[in-house]
Amino acid sequence: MNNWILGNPQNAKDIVLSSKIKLMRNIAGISFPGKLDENCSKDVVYKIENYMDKQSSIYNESFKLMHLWDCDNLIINTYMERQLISSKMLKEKQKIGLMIKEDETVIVTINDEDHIGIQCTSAGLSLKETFEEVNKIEEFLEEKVDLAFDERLGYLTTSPANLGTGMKASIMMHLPALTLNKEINSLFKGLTQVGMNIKSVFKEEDANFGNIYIISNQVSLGISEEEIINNLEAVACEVMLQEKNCRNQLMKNYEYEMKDKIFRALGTAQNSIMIDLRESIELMSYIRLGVELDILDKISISNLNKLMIEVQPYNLRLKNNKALSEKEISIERSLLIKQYLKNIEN
Amino acid sequence: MLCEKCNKNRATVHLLKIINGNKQGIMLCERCANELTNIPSIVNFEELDEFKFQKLVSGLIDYMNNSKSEGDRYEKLICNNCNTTYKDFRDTGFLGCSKCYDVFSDMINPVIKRIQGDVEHIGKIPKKSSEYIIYKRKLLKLKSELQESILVEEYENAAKIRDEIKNLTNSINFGEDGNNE
Repeated sequence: MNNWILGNPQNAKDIVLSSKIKLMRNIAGISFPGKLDENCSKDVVYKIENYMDKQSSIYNESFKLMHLWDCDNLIINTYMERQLISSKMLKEKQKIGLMIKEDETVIVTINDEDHIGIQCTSAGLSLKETFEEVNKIEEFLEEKVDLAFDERLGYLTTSPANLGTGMKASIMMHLPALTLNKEINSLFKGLTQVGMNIKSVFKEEDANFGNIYIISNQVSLGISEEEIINNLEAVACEVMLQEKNCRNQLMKNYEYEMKDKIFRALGTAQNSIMIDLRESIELMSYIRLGVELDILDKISISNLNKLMIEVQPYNLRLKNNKALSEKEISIERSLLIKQYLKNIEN
Repeated sequence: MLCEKCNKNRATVHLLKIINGNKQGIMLCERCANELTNIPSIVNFEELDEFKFQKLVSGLIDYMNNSKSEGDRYEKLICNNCNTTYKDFRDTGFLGCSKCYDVFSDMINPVIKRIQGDVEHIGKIPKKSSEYIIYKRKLLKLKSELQESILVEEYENAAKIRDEIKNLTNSINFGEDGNNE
């Protein structure tokens, strides 16, 4: 199982960046995290950690245990930028514990929205593999803990939207051609009709940018885990096909314009002195497209993935180990991008 | 100090309205401030998404239960296990504990139908509960088969099924609640 950032060399250019499965579970008999006070929440954290410690006998790598109440907000924000945790967790940090696998493919959250959240992210389109991983952990926990479950409603979750399988499956895709063509709008509408949800990873004041989208299942009750995965995979393949067709059309009819955009993006990225987040993400989308279309080489997708994380503000602050003003952040960002993209002659 | 609009949350935003030189100030919590001014103080995309969806759920709950005359009765409902009130659920879209699903079942069920569809869980079952659930499902199936046989006057068959039921209930000894909540 590969961390999505490092990518899978064989099909790194495949449009799908990562697949993620999250299982949400609650302990029977205890109030859900929203209703627990700090002390009870911490008890839940210690309890689960105790059970999971024995994991080391099952897994070769051990899990890193983290108590968010002991963590610096900066670190928590960097985890959020790495898509490991949600922004809500910062607000509730007094109650939350985390268990992160060394390679960061698996993370178990305690007292997020639900008592236990088991999440695995892997590179490319690999939902089945990812599901097996979370399932293993869930079955292990199930033996130690009584989970809140109802025969009719399935696994009981804090939000009725996650009842039943308590599973959220999602895939992250790079869809620049569909966005350029504005076909992404019909995709937004069409997917809700098949019980799926799509949203842009990057957003600023209601405008999407960056061309990276996450498609996830909306419905979790009345459908089996296998069906959710199969449906999502089928949708992913169809969207991939549409995106590829769109790219082919664009290259066929607008080859020069597309190459111009791609090389201009590379040029700006390699030479700017200051750059804000939005622009850097937009440029990287074109560069990524260039790599995926084999127009640019010597840049790896995994470097672009790393860059996508590291240009974000908290990650930059962490890297530079000091408080930075907005201006300093945009300067540092530029330097970072140049570092990654130097020596690329195309 | 408390928000002057909802009187519930702590006031963290001071909204100052200056019209033609007249100053009007009001202390608000973040949520009320957002509602009044549409100025997003949260920039993170994920937070906006979550917030909107939960608001949708709350809106649904409100809509579905407003038209019923029992609306007043619902207001008084409270879960003994976690002290969640109907208002809490309506405001946040979140429940407080597993018992809430029983306490508020009347109002939750239509919401679940809207969000998830009118269905029952067919996915994974926790191993601890699975035996009991399989037993229950088999029992139900046998009982309905028994009824059918009686209706079509196949009494021999009915007798066989009756014995099967007897064997099943005797061999597996479960309490009233079984193993699941």
